[in-house]
Amino acid sequence: MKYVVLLARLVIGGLFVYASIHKIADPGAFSVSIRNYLVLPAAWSNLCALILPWIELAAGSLLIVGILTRPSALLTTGMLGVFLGAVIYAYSIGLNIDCGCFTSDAATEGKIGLFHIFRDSALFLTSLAILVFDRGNLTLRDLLPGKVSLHKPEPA
Amino acid sequence: MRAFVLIAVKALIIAVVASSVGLALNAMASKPLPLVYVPPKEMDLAGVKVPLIDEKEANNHFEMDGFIFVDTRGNEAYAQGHVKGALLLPADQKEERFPEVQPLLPEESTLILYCYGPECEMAEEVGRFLAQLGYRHMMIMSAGFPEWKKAGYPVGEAVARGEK
Repeated sequence: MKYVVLLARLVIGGLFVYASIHKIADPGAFSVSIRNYLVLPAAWSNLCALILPWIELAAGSLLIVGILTRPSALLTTGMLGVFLGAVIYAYSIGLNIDCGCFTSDAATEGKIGLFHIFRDSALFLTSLAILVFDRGNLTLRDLLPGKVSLHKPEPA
Repeated sequence: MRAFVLIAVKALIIAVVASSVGLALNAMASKPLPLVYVPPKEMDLAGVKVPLIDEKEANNHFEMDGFIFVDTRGNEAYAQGHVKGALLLPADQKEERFPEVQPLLPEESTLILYCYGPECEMAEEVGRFLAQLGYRHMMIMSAGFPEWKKAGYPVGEAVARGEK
């Protein structure tokens, strides 16, 4: 089971880090993507575009290295839940917009559709599995020589 | 329960720290993004000043002589509902479709373009195209069709899918 969780951590963490880099590089374009969904008041779009990618980057990086794994998985699960809800809403009201999920340049990903709903659902469940099943195994610390402890040693 | 609260608190701390980094770097950027987005009042499309109006103002011009609504979305979206009486000129087929709608779009009329919402670029794209063709009087209903429909303003009956 721990290898399945590790694989899930690497997949979700890698995707979040990848998704965040383009958005951090061009928050203005990501802000446009947020407004396209018509879910949030337009006035909030810039603020979300400035903070959301950094939360994605932090949570994704922590999932990959296995530090604060479950809090990070809670963040990625929550964000994926919100993304999934936004895609379902946009699809249900017939918005013919670009996804903007993994890049700030939304036009490169194609229009939102059932594919995006299935994909986001699968990612949401994968992230949820990390949150539920992670037991702190196979972290970066385990890969270091001699399993160097990140915690202070107990006094002799 | 206590364990979950602890996880949630740690998640919150991660989110706050990461957000602070994002906001701090933006504040230090040469061209920081404003924290609150303020929509523009008008835009310049190929040298033509085009006011951006909301659905209420657009409705003031509804069925008024000299004002024509132009739907810049696709066939399918138009078929599912549109501003009553609006002409269809999809952004991705504007060149091919323009000769069909040109007789219904006299240059002296004021065109009210719309698509899905504030940041949908289809209306801008069609507006720029029309400006290059000589149209000088245009507005963009930036709220888009969803807000028009939500406000209860007249909606055109759906037509068969793919019908022009």
